[in-house]
Amino acid sequence: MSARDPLWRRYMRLLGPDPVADLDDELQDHLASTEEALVASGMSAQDAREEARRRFGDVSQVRRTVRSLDAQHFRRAGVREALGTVVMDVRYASRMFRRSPLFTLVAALSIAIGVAANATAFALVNAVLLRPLPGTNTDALVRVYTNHHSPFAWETLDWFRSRATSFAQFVGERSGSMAFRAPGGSDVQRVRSSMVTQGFFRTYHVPMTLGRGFDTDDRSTKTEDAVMVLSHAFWQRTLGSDSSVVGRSATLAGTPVTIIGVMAPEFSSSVLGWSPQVIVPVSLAPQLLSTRVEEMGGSFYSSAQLRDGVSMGAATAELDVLMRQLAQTDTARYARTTVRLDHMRGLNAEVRATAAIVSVGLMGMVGFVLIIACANVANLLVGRSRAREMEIGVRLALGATRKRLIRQLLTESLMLALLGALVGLALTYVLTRALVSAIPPEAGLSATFFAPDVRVLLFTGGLCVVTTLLFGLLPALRAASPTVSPMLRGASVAASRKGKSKLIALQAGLCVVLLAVASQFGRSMLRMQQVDNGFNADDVVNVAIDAGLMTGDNAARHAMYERVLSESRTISGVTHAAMAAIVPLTGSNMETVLAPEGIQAAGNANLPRTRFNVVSDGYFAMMEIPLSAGRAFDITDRSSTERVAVINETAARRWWPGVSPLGKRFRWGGMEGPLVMVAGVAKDAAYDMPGEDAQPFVYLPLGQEERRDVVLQLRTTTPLPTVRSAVFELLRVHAPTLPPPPVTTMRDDMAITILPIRVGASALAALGLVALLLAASGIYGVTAFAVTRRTKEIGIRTALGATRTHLLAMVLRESLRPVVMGAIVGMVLATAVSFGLAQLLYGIEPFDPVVIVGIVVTLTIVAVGASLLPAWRATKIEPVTAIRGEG
Amino acid sequence: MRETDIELIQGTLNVVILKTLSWGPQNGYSIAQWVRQTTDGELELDEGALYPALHRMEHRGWLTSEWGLSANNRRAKFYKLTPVGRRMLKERTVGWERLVRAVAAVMTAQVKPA
Repeated sequence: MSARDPLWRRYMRLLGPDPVADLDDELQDHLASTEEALVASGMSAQDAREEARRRFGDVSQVRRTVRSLDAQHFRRAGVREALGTVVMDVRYASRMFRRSPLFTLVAALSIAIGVAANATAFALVNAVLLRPLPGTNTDALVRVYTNHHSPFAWETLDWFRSRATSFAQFVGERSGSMAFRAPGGSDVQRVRSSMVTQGFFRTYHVPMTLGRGFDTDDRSTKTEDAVMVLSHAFWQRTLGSDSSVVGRSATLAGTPVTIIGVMAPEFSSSVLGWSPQVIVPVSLAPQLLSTRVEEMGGSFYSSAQLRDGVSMGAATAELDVLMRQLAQTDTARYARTTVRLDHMRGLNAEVRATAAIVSVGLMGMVGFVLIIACANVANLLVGRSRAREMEIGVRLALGATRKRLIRQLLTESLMLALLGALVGLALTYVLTRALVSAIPPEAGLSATFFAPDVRVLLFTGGLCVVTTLLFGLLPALRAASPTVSPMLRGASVAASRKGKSKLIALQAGLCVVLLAVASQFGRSMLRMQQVDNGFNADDVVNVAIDAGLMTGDNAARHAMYERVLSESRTISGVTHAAMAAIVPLTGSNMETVLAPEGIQAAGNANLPRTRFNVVSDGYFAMMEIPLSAGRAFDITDRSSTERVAVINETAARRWWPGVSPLGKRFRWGGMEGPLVMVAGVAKDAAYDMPGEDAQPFVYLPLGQEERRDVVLQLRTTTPLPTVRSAVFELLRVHAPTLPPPPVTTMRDDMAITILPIRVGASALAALGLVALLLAASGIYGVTAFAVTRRTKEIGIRTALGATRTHLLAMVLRESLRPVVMGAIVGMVLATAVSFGLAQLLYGIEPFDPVVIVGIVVTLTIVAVGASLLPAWRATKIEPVTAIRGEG
Repeated sequence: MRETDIELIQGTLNVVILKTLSWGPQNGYSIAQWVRQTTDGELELDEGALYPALHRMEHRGWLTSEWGLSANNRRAKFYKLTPVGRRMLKERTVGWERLVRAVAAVMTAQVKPA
């Protein structure tokens, strides 16, 4: 270094080699040496200087050449060194894991549980919200909704698709169920069906296992267009994968229809969650549903394929223009109708908002579990790094840099996380499969519906990094920070206790939140089972009769209904019997508009809407729904007599406030509908959800309506199997063409409405339990560690006369303090979360303060239990050995 | 460089440097000095080739360097042979001697090519 160099550069060298400055120094030394030799031979200083440079040649050229050589070398060396360190770190870490297998097992399992919970929840969210429709692969597919998220009526669908130029395809799918008889078979069974419009198979490029799809004109009446396509699962299960069925004729709703293809397993429907077993063209509506295509109402779930180069924005603009044109054709009907496009991912918009809220909640809850698991691992790591103080101290003393140590400790953490994540991912595969099997098979989900895909794998990878930082960074920083000497002297550092109790407090707090939300779900579920629904669902047996499977017209069906109903009343043990179109609180409902006398409305869209049911005579008595005015239906209410209805009290109050509704009339189904007279008023009951707010409801007599299917409801205390065989016997006589119907208890049927809450409650209960276990193991670990650390101190206390009780109390007090603190914060947080949930989710109430106190007590008991063993061990410490040794 | 200078064939420079360093650690200047003195000024090491060669051999692990003080208390970089460098010197010396013999045989040949 020449004397002209600034002083600071000398100090900079302490930080490491500086090749550029070194080279300058080296060349400078050469020049100066030549110069000195020349001066010594008698040359003037000035001349010597110039001569030295001349002899050297181009200094800057040499400098450039050597510099680039050096730079290249250091680059390569840097990479080699970095790789070498990683390999070393990994090797070192795996050695540590082998040396402490119990630690590794507990830590990896904690992470595995956290990762599995999160990856499973994310797989669910992915399937329901993020993933494109299974079996499709084009981005050009969009969903089309009317009125924000509703399906189209046939005529609107037809109107738009014949005019819109933005779409290469515009199709609709309508769900239903039909009676199916296999080719050459004799048994009739009910199948889930979809009717689709022309172009459906082309739009979705539906992959086929056998045969082909169809592209039938929606108005075709040709007999060769009576075709159907089967789902893969249905073909496998019901037709035994018989490939000869293609081309043969089966019976659908009593009509011969040719099977022309079997879809590949990956595609099921254009609507996520639908799994039709047969798909038929809409042109078959007259034969299968006895309606003309033009008369088919709403519920065509529509989607379209954008033309090449047409953006969603451009297509939306065109739809808006078309919508305005449509509104001009029938202002009354379409004035407030809107149309919009939506992407083709996850569930339909109709249910997506709820799914999104549930998803966010679910991800939050599993996130808590992950944090609790990470806190556990962090505690273990901190504890272990305390135990490794000596080793780390030695390594620091031997010149390992802080950076190097932190990196090594983080490598250990990352490897732990990877190990945990691998186990967690395996668990996820199991859990997602279990999830599918927990869903009723009627939903027709494939076993891989929730299976992790690339997105879930990426998410898990991200989790790995996040968890590593969450549990690994703090212990690594702390382990690498202390100064060398106290550790080498073997002194203990007490600072870590504070950090560990914070982690315990965090775990306790999150535990309380999880348990509180779980109990909230559980309580809501119990309440829904106990709430007064306005009818008595106990001791009612439901028999779903599908008269659509029967030949004959409406009159023949009604004659059968009457015979079956009157005969069923003679079954021994049956006190009441009635028939109804739908059973309340089982997930099915019917809704329409009506125009009550005295209410003026601009257009049908502005008329009051109401849920309704079609019921036979004896219905109110059977359901034990009291009438507060007027009369119930009678066997004499037939199509030949005046149309009558029974309305509920809320309807009466809303449509005819302050006056008796008896004898009042309304137009049914719209302002052009038939006039119906109110004959009776029934007490309010729940129809959609247990404990719901009362809503208007209308009952119509079965004798005045067309029904292809009814539910026969029997009030009886006779065991179900006995009732079932009696009903089968009866139907064999009076409806010999019908297959044996499903016979179930009404309680079982109603379980479906609270299914989401029940699933939520059990999932949350499982999560809560996992959280509690993780927290307990965390508390145990920390307390056990604290006792070990303080062996000497405890020994001294014992020597000074501390009693066993006193020591026990001391250890317990210290381990419980963070638990209680965390629980208090958790209580506040849980209160906020539960109020939020009550706002967002239907049927969930804010929780009871008594419950939360119970949770805190439970947590405390668990904490005491987890601390007892180490505390007891503390009382067993022999003072003499403890004080003498390090313990 | 003068016209009369002997040009060092690529690779020969390395063996010259290695040989020079076999007497003990030296800096670049003294390597050049020593070669000049030993050859009575016949062999002049070009600095533009000397320093890249030194650094390259250091990167390859034939040489190590150490910072020390030169005669006038300047910071100077001293190169030293490593065991690898010593082995290389031995190999290259054998090769060099064979080359010299071979070239000499050609130069002193009395028979003209067929």
